[in-house]
Amino acid sequence: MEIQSNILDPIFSLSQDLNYFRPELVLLICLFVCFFADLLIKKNKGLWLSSLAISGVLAYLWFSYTQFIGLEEEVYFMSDLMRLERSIVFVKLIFGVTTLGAIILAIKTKWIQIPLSHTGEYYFMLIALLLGSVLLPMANNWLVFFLLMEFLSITGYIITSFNRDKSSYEGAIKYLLFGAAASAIMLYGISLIYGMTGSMSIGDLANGMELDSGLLSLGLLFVLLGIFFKIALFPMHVWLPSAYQGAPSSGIVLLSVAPKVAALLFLWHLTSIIELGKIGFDLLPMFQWQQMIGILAIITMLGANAAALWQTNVKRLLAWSSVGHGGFMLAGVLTLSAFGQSTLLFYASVYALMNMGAFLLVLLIKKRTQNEEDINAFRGLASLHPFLGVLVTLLMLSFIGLPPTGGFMAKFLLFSAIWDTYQQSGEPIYIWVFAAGLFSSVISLFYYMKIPYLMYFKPLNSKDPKLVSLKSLDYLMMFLIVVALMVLFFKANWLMNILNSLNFAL
Amino acid sequence: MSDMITIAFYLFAGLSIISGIFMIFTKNILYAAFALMFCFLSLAGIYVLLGADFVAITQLLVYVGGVLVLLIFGVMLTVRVEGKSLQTGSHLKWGGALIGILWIGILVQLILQVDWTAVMTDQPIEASVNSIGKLLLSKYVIVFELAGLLLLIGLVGAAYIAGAKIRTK
Amino acid sequence: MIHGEVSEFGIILLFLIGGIFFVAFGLLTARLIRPKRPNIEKLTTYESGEDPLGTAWSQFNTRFYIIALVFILFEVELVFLFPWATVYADQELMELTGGKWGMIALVEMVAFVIILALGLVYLWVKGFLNWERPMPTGKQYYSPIPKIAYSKFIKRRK
Repeated sequence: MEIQSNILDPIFSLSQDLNYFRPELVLLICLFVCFFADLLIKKNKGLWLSSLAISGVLAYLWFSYTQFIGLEEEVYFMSDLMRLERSIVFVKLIFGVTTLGAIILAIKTKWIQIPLSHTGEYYFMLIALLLGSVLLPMANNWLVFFLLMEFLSITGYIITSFNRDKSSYEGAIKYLLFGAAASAIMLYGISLIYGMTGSMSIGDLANGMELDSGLLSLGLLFVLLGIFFKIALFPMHVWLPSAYQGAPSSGIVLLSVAPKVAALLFLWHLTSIIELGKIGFDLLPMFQWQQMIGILAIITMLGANAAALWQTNVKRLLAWSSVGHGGFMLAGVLTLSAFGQSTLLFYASVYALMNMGAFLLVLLIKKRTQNEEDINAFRGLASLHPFLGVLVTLLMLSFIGLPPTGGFMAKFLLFSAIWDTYQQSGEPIYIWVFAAGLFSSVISLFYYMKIPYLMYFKPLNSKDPKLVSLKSLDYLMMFLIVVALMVLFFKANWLMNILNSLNFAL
Repeated sequence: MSDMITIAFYLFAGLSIISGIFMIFTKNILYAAFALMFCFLSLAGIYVLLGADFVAITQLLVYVGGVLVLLIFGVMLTVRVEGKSLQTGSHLKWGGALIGILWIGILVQLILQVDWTAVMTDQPIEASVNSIGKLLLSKYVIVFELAGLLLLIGLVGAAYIAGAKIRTK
Repeated sequence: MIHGEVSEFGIILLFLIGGIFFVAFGLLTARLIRPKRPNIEKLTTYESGEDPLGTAWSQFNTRFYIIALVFILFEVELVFLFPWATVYADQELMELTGGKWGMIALVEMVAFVIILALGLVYLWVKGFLNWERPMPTGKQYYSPIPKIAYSKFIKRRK
């Protein structure tokens, strides 16, 4: 019996392995502190809860930062159940900052019917979601992977239904039904993979290659569908617009970035193993793994951007745009080069920033339209708030991917990475992905520009109530986000230098 | 002895398939729940035959004893239950049947392709409760604790959502 | 498929078969022996002697759902306790690790149980477990006899 490797070694290395979990342990403590604060504190609850959550996430960011400095190469720990590399730690930082943004937006949501900042469960769920998405890219075992996917799904369902009104229940039930089906399919896929390779370790996938079996490819395909559900890509994206419409805006800020990027990084790991192991993907003889992902990325990019053209609800529009951005990032996974991974992470950071800005905007117009995020709420806003008009225009330029914003640099770098890969491999799929990406960026121009257009060129509707007193804090947050996006354009190499130094194990 | 086991396997497999089919085709949602119970029970029997005693016990305790009770409660909680017995319909029958048959075809084809002698192991089956316990506390400890956390999150969330009605009263 | 080790489960199977046999046997003989002369009165549902009203289906209180949820939570916990209970004092592992195994097993299980117990704490503090009974709506009855008369009466009886 393998008593040594399975039982004795894990026990003796446990205290050493826990060192790698420092940021996560901080988050766990923060989770329980929020839990108890919700139960025990009666006076000034909102203030206490939000300050506890913010300080917890700041402490987590600090520990992630020290981990980022300290870590040099890819490590495997917890008897190979988990792995850690610098790109994963970088993503932890992005998620932490996004959570901070989500918490700040939750505090700002006070004036809407349910005071989110007073519900301890909300912070509990946000931090649990952060914890799950931080751990997911570290998974190197199918069991851990499945558990963390469930972790993300369940917190996602709960956050979506948090407003407890009709539209949020509708979104949550769609999310739940789709998620349950996706989980079942994925679990079936994992069981097929386990049956074929006889190992729960993801790294052992390469052992299955000499089997050359269709069942293994089928299992991989099912796992891919489960991951696509989490990233909300074609054909598993259907739940997304309704879920976004119902969910609280502050929740989506985190929900649309953290699980997405975490699942993408996991997909990167999986794809690199499949490509390194040259696992035959012979379910459908004409498709290779890369080609299949490429085709799905093309469909996602084109379809999502086309669907967004007809949306009149800002949240639904942003949902479709999020599907589209997921498609772009999926195209980044195709490259599988060190440069490709840097550009992918750059894109993810820019996307997290833009998303925060966009949902701050949604919250602002919510004041104006009694909780309906109709796009017409933007009519003539620029004449009332000229500075906001400029900021929103810049934000939308970044969404499209035009200079002078970080969105341009993100797309530019991603496209050049795809072009490089095309030059190296000569596979025609890359050029198609490249073309589809360019074309869908052009399509996206039409719907993103709708918002600045309405703001500047449509008259103010006299029936609409004014934006009730935009506070200087709103301006400040919007301003900071837009400035950060501009910095990422003019000084893109600051971030790129960090990302290039990540020292990927490829 | 091994004949007995084979007979028992086919018995349980047949029972699970029949109750599964009944569950899909019955109109009464409560009958469907009970058919699901028989399906779970026969699956537990199959797990026993496979030597997975812990999984079999879990199946009985959690699925038959817990999840199914929750499911039936869910049926009872609906407002529509008063009056007529609750009926369910099915939509897109032909499309669903087509996809199902296609799917069975693909699976059978793929299963027949596999060279099972390469996949099978000769390792003897040991008492699984014991070895699961050992692994759960050493190698898979992170999975164990995460599962606990996941259950807590699920409970808090479900109570929060289900409690909407209770709290506002 | 398992070979040879089924004997323990064979006993369970025997019990099952025996149980099914006894139930079937009892019902069948009762059916053969008993007289069968139904009428409308006999065929109605027996409801403590009252005439039944409406259907047997009625909507449950939502609170039952939360109780059932807690039940499932602790059932899953119970399932995890089984394998733990068989190994936490494993002689071989205790010797190999110098007693560390028992400590680690205990700490891990205590952490798991505490995490789940927090769920119960949450429900309790938030008041999901409170069962607010409906207030009786009948009229308050004022007796013309003063209360002191009752207590005197009771005293005299003693």
